[in-house]
Amino acid sequence: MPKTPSFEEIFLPHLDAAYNLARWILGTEQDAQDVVQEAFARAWKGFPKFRGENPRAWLLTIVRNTAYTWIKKHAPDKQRLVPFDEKAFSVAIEAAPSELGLDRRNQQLRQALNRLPAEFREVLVLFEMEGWSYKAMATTLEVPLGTVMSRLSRARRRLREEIIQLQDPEIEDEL
Amino acid sequence: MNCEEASRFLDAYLDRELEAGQQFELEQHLSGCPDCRTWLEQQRQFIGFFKANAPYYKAPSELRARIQRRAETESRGSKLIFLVRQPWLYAAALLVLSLSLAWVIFFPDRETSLIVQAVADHSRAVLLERLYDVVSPDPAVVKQLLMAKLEFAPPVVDLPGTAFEMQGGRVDVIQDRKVAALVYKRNEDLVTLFAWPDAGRLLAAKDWSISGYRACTWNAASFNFVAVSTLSDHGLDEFTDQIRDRLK
Repeated sequence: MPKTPSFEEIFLPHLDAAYNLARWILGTEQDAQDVVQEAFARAWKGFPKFRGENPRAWLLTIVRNTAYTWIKKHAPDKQRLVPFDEKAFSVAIEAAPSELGLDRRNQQLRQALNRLPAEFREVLVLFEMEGWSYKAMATTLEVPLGTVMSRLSRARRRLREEIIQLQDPEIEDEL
Repeated sequence: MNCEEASRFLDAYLDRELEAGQQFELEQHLSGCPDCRTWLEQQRQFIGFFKANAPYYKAPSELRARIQRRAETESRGSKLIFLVRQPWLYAAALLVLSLSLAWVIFFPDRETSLIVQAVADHSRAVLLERLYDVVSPDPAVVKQLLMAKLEFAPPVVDLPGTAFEMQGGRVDVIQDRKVAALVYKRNEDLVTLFAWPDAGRLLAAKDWSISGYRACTWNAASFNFVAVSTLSDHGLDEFTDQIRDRLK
């Protein structure tokens, strides 16, 4: 009889993904560590009931739920969704700073990400990094498919807008 | 489609998440709208930039160490609990099995042994907490998953507006054939509803009482049904009435 894989064997390989998601949603290293530890404790408790075929998705769902419980308790304003600003649609990418150094651009991207609400960062990481489909996100986030579509779209537009805003003063400085 | 409508679909278009109809309409619009095409191209570039540069945070080594340590402690603890717990589970399962066997020996007719098996299946699933292959309150979801494992399409209905909540279902075995087992809950009581097609040997409508469980059999549309539960006669009648009503 083949040995049943242990909890560690199943879930430890997904620790980086779990931490990455928590770090994105929460924005700071310490909070992410606390939440991931708590999420693993919850996963352990739920393990006898786990018979899913996708341990990574199962774990990440626990991580995001734990993260939101944490946010509600410690920083309720972090989660707030910012209303869609139509201006974002007209933002032009010409200002993309090809002349700026890569470090500077990365730094700007991180700063801009920090200004987004957690729910926007969450769909970005699940879609772009974890490769989830809209449908998978809708199931885990417990929202309709249309909401996933608009949330991801708004997240990207907001991010573009934030980057432009970070660049504006610099462009003025250069003039 | 105008530009404003198109703008709602552009991201999903890039993500290849649009339905064929929406995609067609959007492409129609794009072919005549240079502004939206430009925007689309910029957004494509931006997504590329984002994917290439978005930070991926690896778990710090101290976190990994903490979780590993904890997992080791937990698994030592749980092995102990496992050992303590296990004999009782086996004893309970064995008791059910021998009770069922006793029934089969005393009442060897096919129909009775079929009900006895249904009761044993229900009881084993409850005792060992192996109730579900699929957990969902949505009949369509449960049906789809069970269909994948069965050679037939089981009738799956939920009972909104009643005290019975559909929890999910599993594939079980009765007399060497795979059957659908749907699980419903009312407060603390679980009901398993077994269903399988059998044009040749349909079960008559009848109530049973076996090993402390109530069971109820009937047939409809060439399917056999057996409901098993710890509910009272009255409670089980209520359940079967609701189900038969919805299966009409």
